[in-house]
Amino acid sequence: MAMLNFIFRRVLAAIPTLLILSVFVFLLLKLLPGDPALALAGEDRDPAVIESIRVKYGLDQPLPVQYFKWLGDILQGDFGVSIRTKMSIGEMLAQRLPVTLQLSLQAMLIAIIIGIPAGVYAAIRRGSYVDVAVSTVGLAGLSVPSFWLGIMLIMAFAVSLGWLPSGGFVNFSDAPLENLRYTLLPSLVLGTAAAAIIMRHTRNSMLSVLKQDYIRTARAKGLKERIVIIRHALRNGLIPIVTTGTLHLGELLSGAVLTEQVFGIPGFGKMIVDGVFSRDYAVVQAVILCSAAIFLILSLLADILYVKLSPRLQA
Amino acid sequence: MSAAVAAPANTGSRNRSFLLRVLSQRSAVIGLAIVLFFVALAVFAPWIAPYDPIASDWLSVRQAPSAAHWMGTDDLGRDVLTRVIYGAQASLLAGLIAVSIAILAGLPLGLIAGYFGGWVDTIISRCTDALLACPFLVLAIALAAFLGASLQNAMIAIGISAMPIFIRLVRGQVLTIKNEDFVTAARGQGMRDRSIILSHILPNVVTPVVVQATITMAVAILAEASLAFLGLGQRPPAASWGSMLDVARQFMLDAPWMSIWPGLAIVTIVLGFNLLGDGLNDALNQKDD
Amino acid sequence: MRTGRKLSIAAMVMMVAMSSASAASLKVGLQDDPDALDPALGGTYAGRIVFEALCDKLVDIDGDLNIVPKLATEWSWNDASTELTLKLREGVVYHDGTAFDAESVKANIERMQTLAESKRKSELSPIKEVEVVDTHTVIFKLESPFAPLLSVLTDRAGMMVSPAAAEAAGDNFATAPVCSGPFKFVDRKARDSISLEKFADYWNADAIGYDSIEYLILPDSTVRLSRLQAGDLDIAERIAPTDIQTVKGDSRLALHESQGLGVSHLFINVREDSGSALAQHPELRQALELSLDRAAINQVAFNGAFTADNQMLTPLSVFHSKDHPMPARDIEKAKELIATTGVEAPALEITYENSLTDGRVAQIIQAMAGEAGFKVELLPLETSTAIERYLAGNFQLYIGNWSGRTDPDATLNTFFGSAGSQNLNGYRNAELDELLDQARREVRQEERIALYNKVTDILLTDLPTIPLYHPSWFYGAQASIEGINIYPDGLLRVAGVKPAN
Repeated sequence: MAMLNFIFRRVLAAIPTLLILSVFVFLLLKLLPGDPALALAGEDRDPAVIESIRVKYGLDQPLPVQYFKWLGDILQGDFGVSIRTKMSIGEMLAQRLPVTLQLSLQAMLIAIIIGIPAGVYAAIRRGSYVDVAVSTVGLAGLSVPSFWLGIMLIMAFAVSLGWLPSGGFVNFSDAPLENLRYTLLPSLVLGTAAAAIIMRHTRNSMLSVLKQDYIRTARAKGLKERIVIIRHALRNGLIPIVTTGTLHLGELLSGAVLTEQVFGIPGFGKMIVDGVFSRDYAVVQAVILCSAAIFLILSLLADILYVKLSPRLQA
Repeated sequence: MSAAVAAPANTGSRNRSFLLRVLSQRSAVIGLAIVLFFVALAVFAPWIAPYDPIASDWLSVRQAPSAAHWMGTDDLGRDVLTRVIYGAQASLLAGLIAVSIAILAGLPLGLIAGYFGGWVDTIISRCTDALLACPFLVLAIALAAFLGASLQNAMIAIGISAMPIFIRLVRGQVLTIKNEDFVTAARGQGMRDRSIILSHILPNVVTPVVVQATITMAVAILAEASLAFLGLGQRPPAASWGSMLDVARQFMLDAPWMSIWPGLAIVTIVLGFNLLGDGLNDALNQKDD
Repeated sequence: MRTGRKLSIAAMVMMVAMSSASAASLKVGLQDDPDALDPALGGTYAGRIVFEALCDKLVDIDGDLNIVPKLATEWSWNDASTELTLKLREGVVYHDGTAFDAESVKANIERMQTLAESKRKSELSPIKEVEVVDTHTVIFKLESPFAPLLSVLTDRAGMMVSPAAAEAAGDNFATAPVCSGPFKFVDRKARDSISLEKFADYWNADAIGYDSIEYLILPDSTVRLSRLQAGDLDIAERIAPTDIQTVKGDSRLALHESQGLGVSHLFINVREDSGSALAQHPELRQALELSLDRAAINQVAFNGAFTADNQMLTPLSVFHSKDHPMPARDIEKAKELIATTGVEAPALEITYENSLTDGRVAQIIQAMAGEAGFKVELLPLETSTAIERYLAGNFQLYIGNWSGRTDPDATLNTFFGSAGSQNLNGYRNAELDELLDQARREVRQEERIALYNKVTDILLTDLPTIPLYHPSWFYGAQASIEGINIYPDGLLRVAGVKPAN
């Protein structure tokens, strides 16, 4: 009951945040120079056509009118149509989000498989060469621009060796094996930064857990070190990792922007970039709001997980 | 593109030995060395670089590395090594200005929100929450695209996007400090709010802000490279690592050297700032150990 | 686990079965995502490629830019050249079963002339009235002679959609277009793919070699090429100039190319009040042209794959002037010309829509003009900001990329006629206006050639723009595919294209 109450309050608190963001995004797109009607007018750039586009999309109306109309539509679940392709934005989101979600989940899987063991090992062997190596690699993983890593991987595995495709995408439902071939490199790129973060958090978290009294007690009881680490230390040490991991899923969405650009994947991140460059305002607004909503949901999820996982807080 | 947030500082510590502790951190020293190396490259570029960074040479387009061009030449026959050296200018400048903008805007807002509380705090905090919910890079791309492609606009876009981190950090710091005895005492003596903020609160916020600034430098440099990669940064013909990679991507097959070096430069400089930031952060929290 | 494996084996078997059955699906890699799939609204090259399979037009061009029949089988002008009579093909139906007839042509022209967002308004503005003579004859009535009209009908303005479907769908027509082409619309995923299937009742169904077409949007040319090499794609458009040798060197692939209609040019603001030195001193414009080595630009920026040229019209066109060969670079002459004006290191600013190719061309121009003594700044702008400035005439030099048209009028009148919609650099020349107007009314080819020769003469003297190069079209395809013919408009015509045996 307390939990439901907590969730309810958090969701309620998210509403003004999203509303403020919607105003920001709307104003940002309206006040900065550049007119979407011009980007649409085609090669002839006929002034009459430009004017009729303005009228048609309400671009000639006062800003508050435009804002409330847009907001009203969104509240009814209508994100509008792409001014460029005339396709429904809701439909576009439904096509694009799963692609990025798949990439993010695969990336997270890679990050967990690499990050947690490496972090635990570094913490146990604190100060050793392994620890230094893990810490350095971890930091390097945070420092690599995703687009460059993508280019390097394409050069190595697609252009030189020819093992994997250099970009593009096939739907999982159309051809599962092909889909995995196409998403392997991008997931690896996305997973690198995530692995680095998880590695660092695991190491820090394990270091502080290993200092706790109950670990000393367990050791004093003569339990095997491996059991102490796995059964006692890791179980508690993982709590903050689960929550940061959840939060980081949101970060992966923005990491996907450049990764999808480099690999030419028709996902959510590419939708943002394409929308920005073709001044498809309605698309940019929808995408930013959507990613903010996803971020808020994930942070709520992280909080819930944190409360659920740590017995002390529940009491 | 992680916008890592520095751990909050131990508030009571106004330790003059902070610098000493920083210097005793191995990673901080290595990080500092890397950063200074790139600063030297940027400052002394005209004397170090073997060629003119923008002079094209039609007869030596996309040549592989050789004795004359250690890192090869690019699509317009310019020396890649020279452009990598000059690229440090754009990167460091972008990082520095963007972080300055973020601090200059974020610090006062954080101070005001934290110190005065009430509806001022509510408004500032709500807006900060809203901006933080929007992915950093997405915000920067949208701003930079609509301001127009130039290094200056990229810096502004990154600065604005990084601002909310500082607001939240400073506000949190102020909230813990403002009820400390020395602040309450000062208020009791009838000191004006402005004086209290400037003489008692601000000095206690500086250290964590410096640590965060170092980490944000790394984020900002990565963001500048990303924007330039999307064609939203430094204008041609001036050199920028991100735009060099944007061009290089078209020649992965015939001229792989064009892609390798600018990328390595970005990794190294960002690693330098991350190491430095880590070291500073550890030094700041050393009391906990 | 076990069922999963079974499933994937089943999927593989299905894939093998599908690919071996008849290879009936044509996969085409496009560089851009088309915009609205409605001939009245479309404004992209990628969109035109898709329309080529989806929507038949009244007339077409052949490889030599002659007008040939399509939905109209015959046509004739009246003596005053103010009425164009079209005989329509019989037995043609739209994808929804509506009959293609004179009434529907009338409805189409009127739709494109009146639809709020229509991009075809100015192209079709010469038509004052469409008269239905009988079910398969229409007359387009003009106010004054307009020779380029037929060429306009070879592109989107001549594409016919089902009037019934257009009316029913209203604003949503572009999401499910209904035309009369060899393939009909099935499905579209934004920035990903567009699927079409063969239209069984197509009038020329025998010429169609595939059961379906899938257009995949792959913006990166490296990706398109590698997927072509891997056999994932049958055809890929816009092979990068640097990759041409790779395609030629691969025995499983074939390169199909054509010179293009388009032109890239350095548009010069010559408005007196623009404050530009180039506007005040024609000698400086000449000096700028002489400082450029167009062949070197073509070589460095495009591996020499395009055509360096000094005229707006493609050399393929009969109207391209043979009397004006491309001048060679002459730095000394350029410096002398600059010296005569007395302007010290004339400052220039080149505005362009931010893209890698234009960026490269701009940087080469910057370096070349710099050697002659110009001081050149570059101003790359995000597309709509650039266009905004362009339309306002707020530029000194602008790299224009014009896709070109079959008829010279659409290029020359638009850019250099005093009333031309793209005359944004303030260029006015009464003598030129007179010549352009005569050429527009003249339907006899020889006379028109002579008129346009004079036009070119004036343009190359006044230099309101410096044409740089004409891009070419490069398609890569599996060598086994037969019947691919690329014409100067760069479109993939699907009639006649079929898999081997």
